[in-house]
Amino acid sequence: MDTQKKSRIFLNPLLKENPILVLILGLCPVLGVSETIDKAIGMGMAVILVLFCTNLVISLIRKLVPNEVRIPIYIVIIASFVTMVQMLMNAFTPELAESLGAFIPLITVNCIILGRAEAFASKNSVGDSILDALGNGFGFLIAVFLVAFFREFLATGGWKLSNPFTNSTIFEIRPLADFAIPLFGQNTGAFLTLGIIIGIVTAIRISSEQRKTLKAKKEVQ
Amino acid sequence: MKFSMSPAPFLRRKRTTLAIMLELTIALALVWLASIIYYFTIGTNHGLQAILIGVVSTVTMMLVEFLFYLPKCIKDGKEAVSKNSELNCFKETMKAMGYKLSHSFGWVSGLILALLLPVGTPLYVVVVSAIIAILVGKLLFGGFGYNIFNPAIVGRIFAQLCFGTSLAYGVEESVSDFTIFTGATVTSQLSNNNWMTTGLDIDLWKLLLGNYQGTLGETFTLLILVIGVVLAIRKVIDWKVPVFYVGTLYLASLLAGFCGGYGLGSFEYALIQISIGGIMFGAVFCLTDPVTNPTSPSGKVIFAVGAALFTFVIRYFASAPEGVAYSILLMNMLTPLIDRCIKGFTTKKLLPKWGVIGGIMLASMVLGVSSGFVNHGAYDAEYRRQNEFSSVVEKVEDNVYHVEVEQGEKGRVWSKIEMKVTLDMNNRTVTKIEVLSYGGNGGFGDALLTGGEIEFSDDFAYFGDKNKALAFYDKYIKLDSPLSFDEYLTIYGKENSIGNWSSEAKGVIRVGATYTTMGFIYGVCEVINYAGGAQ
Amino acid sequence: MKNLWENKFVRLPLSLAAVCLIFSSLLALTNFVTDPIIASMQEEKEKKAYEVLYGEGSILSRDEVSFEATDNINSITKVVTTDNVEHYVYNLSTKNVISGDFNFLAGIKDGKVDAYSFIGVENNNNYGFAEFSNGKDRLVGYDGSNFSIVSGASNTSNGFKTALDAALAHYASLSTGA
Repeated sequence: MDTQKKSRIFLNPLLKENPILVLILGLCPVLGVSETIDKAIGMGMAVILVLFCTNLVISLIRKLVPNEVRIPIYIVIIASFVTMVQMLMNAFTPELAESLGAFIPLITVNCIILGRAEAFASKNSVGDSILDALGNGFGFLIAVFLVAFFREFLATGGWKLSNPFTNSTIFEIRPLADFAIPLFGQNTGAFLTLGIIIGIVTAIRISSEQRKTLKAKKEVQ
Repeated sequence: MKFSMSPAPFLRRKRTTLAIMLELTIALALVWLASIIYYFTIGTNHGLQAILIGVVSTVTMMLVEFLFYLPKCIKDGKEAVSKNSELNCFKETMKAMGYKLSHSFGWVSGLILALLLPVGTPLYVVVVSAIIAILVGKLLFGGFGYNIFNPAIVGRIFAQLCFGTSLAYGVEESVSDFTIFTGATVTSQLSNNNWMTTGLDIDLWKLLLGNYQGTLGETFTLLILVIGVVLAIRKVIDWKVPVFYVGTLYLASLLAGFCGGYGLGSFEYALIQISIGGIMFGAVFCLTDPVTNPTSPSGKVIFAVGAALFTFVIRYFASAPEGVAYSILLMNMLTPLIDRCIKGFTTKKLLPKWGVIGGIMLASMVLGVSSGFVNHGAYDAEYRRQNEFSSVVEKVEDNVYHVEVEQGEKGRVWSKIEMKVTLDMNNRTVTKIEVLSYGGNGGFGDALLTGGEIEFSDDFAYFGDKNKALAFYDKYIKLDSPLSFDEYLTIYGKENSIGNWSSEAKGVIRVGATYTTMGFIYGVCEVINYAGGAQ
Repeated sequence: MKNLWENKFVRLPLSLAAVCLIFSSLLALTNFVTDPIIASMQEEKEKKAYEVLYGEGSILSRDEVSFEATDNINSITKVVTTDNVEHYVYNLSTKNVISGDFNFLAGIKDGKVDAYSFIGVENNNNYGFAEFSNGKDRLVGYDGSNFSIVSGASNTSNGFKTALDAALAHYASLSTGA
């Protein structure tokens, strides 16, 4: 029972309560970094790292923090971790940091981070908070990767994956480069793709819920 | 009283929407047929391409609608079977689909989109634009009757933004009319010329009869006019919208012409303005779409006048010659607002309604007047030169002249060309040209002037065609055999101003280094004029 | 002690101060670790740019020159190349280029630009950058009066021109002034 609850903490944010596709939180970086899967994976990793650290620390000190100043303290913690991650990225993955540009410091104001800190980490144990952080972080990564997958394919006709630490290309395939639609590399395409993906995910979710209630009704009968 | 809860259009006659749409389809098919015939006269490939674009666009849209409505139709079919188990599931699904498709009128948008695209559009562009048009422009909003924007226009704008450079006006094959390839449509030529027609060989009759290059549907203006009148008489389209739209544009252009110094020629000038750029086509087929324009009559008038204002503004003050599509989209956006405002006006308060209409029309007129005044100076040949060329000619020996051409902008010299030109006055030919110095930046122009001695760097393959450049060099510069004066003079233009160059001339000089070729031709002509060789 | 903690005016500032102290020290630690790496990467890029300027291994000596800070000039060095010629190398940044500013070195001698190279920008989608990139030598020979704008990249070209004008102005002041 306990493990089931714990596993649900981790599994829920991945798809059923995905912060971006279902709860629609923190969309700004999604639009900005989903141009290529390189940027998407890099950003996802940065968000996971920041979420992990902040949830850990906040849950550790949750009993010591006075209620009135908890928001400023959370913000200081989040901002410090984001700055640390930025400095580390500038040092060890310079090309990725340059291509992500201003979106790394923008992680600070990402609703997901402050939201999880406020709603979960400040009220639950360290272990649970870590699971929650990982779940939400990977949920973010899955969502951004999904959008970037389609966007890069439509905008450039293929994909390119490279190792951020050494800037060497792992693979690059562009089967449909001649038919690329450059609009999807820009903001319009970002909105379109994101909207369509959210629509499809919501449709799947609603139909599966309907099926479940139908099944439950039949069982009752 | 029975309130009909169906979406627009609201019909008073017994005629169904389907019947109206079928008549519209026939009209569109007629325009399409006319354009196919016209393009066949240019070349078989062109005609085939015209047919293909129409077919591909329509089929794609129908296919997308089919796939989109499939899940729901399958559900309906299953439901019908569960109620009456004697029915065939597949047949029921197809029946439901047939009903859905025939009341969704996808093919109409397909034809309109095809007629909005130029003949050289690659087919995959047509497919992608059609998919986006029908999906984003219509289906996602809820299908027929629920869309805000005209789907064909959405597809056209999408094609323009994404594939703008691929929307060629010509297809690969040898053609009788060279100007097709240069992509210089009449509208872009006019817009480069500040919307004044002096010096461009645009003939009103040619325009009306559609003997010029544009998109598939916009060329045969007279036919569209006739069709528009017929459709209005048969109450398929509402007459108010196209009349007010074209009328406002005509009046505004008239005023622009008067103030631009055309005098009585303004009438013809204004007629030219409304015959190009797809205004007629947009007015008859796109603006009159009953779903996307307001329901009340005065709302429709406001819609038409507003669209005219936007078209005028976009054409004159922005660089997009095809302002019709953008203005249609903008007014589509404002349609719900117009509807809501009109509902507030009861029949007693006539003044606000007509005040709004009058205000917008007045704005258009004012814009017309002001643009006319602004371009008055442009009428003057001196001011129209955007790139000033100047030259100094000196006689070196008998029949040998040295000329230095400078090209600059507002006093800043950009590049120079120096040549020694040898003439044969008796035969009126140029026998030898020696290029002494040129721009010097190793660009395409330099390579052209030296006949490839300086390499045609690959970085300029963007703009220029190496073969065309070498052809230009061989014909005009290398002069294996002497070339007559007229070969140069006819390119240069009859008056001493670059803006007057004819479209044929522009086809010749546009090989990738237009300033260089222009400067070169200008230099040689200056020598010829100096020597008294012009006639 | 507990009473003190209960007091709001002690608790709040104390906790805030504690958190700030802890995290600023963490930040300082990270900075300490990563700064040398970042600085060395920047120096590498600049060194590479110097190499490209006049050819590899051609620079004999470099001396910093002090100057009055301007918008475009980051640093000035007096460089002597292997053929015993003195050049002034300006580390310049373009300003207000819409698609992104560039950081480049320009060597000036006798009032003319005789070489230039970019620092660290390797692949950039900017068409204007492609026109000016290393090896194109577009800016070579510019002496203040003969700039040719690349058509289609006038914003980038003007950015370069402004930066070079500042450098040339400084160079001119060197010969007339001190």
